[in-house]
Amino acid sequence: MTTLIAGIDLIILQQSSGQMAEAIAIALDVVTDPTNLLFIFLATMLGLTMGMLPGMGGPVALALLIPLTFPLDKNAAIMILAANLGGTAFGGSITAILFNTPGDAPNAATLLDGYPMARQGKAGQALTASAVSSASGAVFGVLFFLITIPFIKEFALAFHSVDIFWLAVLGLVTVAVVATGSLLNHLIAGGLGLIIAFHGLNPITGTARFAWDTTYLVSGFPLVPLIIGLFAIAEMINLASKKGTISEKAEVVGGLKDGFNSVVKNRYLLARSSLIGWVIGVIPGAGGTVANFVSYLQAQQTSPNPESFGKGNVQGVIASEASNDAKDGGTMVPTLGLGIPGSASTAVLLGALVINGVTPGPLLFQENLQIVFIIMFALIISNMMSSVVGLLSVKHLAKLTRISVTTLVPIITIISLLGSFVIRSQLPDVVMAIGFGILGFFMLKFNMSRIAIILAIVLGPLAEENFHRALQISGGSYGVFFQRTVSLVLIALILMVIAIQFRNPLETAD
Amino acid sequence: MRTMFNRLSDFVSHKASVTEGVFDVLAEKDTKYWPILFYGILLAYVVRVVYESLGFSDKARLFPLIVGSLLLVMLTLKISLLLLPERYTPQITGIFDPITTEFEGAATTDVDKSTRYRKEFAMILWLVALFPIIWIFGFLKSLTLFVFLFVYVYERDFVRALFVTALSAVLVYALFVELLNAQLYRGIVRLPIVAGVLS
Repeated sequence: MTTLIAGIDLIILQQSSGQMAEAIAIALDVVTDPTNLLFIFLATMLGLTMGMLPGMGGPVALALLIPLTFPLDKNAAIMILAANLGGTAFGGSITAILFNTPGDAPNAATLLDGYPMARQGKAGQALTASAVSSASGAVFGVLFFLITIPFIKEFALAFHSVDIFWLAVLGLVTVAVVATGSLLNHLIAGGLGLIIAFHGLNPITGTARFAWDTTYLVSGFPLVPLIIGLFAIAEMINLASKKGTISEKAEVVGGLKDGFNSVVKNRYLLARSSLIGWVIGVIPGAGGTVANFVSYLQAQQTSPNPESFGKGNVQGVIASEASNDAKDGGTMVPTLGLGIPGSASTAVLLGALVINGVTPGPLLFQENLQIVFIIMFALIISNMMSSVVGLLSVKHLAKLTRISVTTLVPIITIISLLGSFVIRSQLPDVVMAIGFGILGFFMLKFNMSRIAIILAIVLGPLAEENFHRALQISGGSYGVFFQRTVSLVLIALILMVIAIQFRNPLETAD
Repeated sequence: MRTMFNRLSDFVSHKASVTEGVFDVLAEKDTKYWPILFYGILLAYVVRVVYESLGFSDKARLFPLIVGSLLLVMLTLKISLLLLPERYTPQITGIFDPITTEFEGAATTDVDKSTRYRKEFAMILWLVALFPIIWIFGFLKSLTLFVFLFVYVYERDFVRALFVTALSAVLVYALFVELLNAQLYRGIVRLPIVAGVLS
């Protein structure tokens, strides 16, 4: 009997290893195809360029790419989106170092020492240190993620319908709690997302809800115009109110060798910062901003010269950039493994997975494991490409920041509106994009989490479907939601997340 | 034509004396009334959704009722808190706020409140006005007109506006017509001369 069980275990292990080997082979086949490599390069360059422009990076670039990748095979489409994600991080650090203006919020910590270095004539050293740390951090982050894949895969097999329901609730609660700003605002955003998700055909009863006698809403709110509106158009409204250009002029001289040597000299800091970035990336909704600042603070506190931070210490640049890119690997754990996004960019990526017919979460590791490896390989390749190309062409790329917002805004707006139209060739989709753009702008203005709304739209139907499925299996008994060990663990986590929030004393405004 | 464009530019730029006062007043109302209006609209929408849910079958209405009811409570609470004097308003914030808020000030650039309001309002108007124009004249014509007008109104440079418009048209054509083979909506009014140039 013992031999039989051992034999079965070996077969399962071999099958599991065989599946993983097959997934890796498919993924390598996809990313090394010459045409796909060209797509990766173009997506990386787009990410790098848009990452440099405040308000354009991360979610906006991804939202614009979704309609452009729609006609492609799902593997190639997701590969392009992942490559774009990999390109934006270094782009944001270029403007942070040269112009004291981060391309995206996660690059804010880089400017604390990067800009002083540029003012001291060490822009080249800062940029090189940033590029090398960025690429290294990305590799670390993906490798850490690679180690967790077998565990996530096994973990995913343990999930039943009732567990997926509780997981969806955990995701919604966590993102609302962890996002910066008012908890109530984010819970409202999540609730609004759920209400939006309830529109259209209900898979449980087969009837259309809240269609309001229109055929347009029978299939619910379309995801692509919604994402484009919430992220791209909302940012354009916000950007239209900002100052004319980011910069006038930038000097980038020398320092390549110094920059590289400084990273080698601080390799333990690099590794530590990468680990911090990865761990924080795993926390759903925490985002890159938190990872950067925590990593920066630890670099300052462990330095023999903490007072030199903020005055041009290259360690500040290394710490923040390494963690910024390592966090991408970390965010893939909740995003791909649990279907809960780690940041705004991965929230949009999650939406893109759904649009391409891929179910994120536990099922992804069972049904589409090659997608996971495609994303990993695309991230590594794009981070390396953006660091190398970005560094070699930084003097020319920096000129892009002299384009005025009044030139960028209309171009991005028309691409967004066209992108929202071409998926289904329905004019009301353009109205949706504009409408959600205005909603997204006010959400931005009143500090409501757009990640929470996207997450709710993705997880809401999943939660409802699995809730009713679990009830059907149990014959209508609600006790099924509190019987399984996995369910009880998830419920405990939900309560813990809520309790952490209320442990902090309530603060009253002065 | 140029005079007309200049007048349009004056309207949306901060030189317009009529709108300046209006936006200063609106900017002052920023802290309370706009959020209350926004959450009030959301509340009205959720009330409608909850009311309609009551007419569904048990299975179909369960989740909308649960979520809708919770959302009604939260929105009512939010509006009530906004109506309270600020010193009585509790702040329950994200758990990472103590780390990030100290530094976030370094990352922002801004203009004065009144100018910002004016520009945001103008941008929303641009978008709202754009759709009916697209519906009437189709994508290519409307969007090229939009880009041209937008750049001209804000930058007051005819040549630059023309250059950016041409660049946008090429980008749109290359990406959407050639690469994606998209059939762009052509509008309900077909202008023969323009259609001949742009189609």
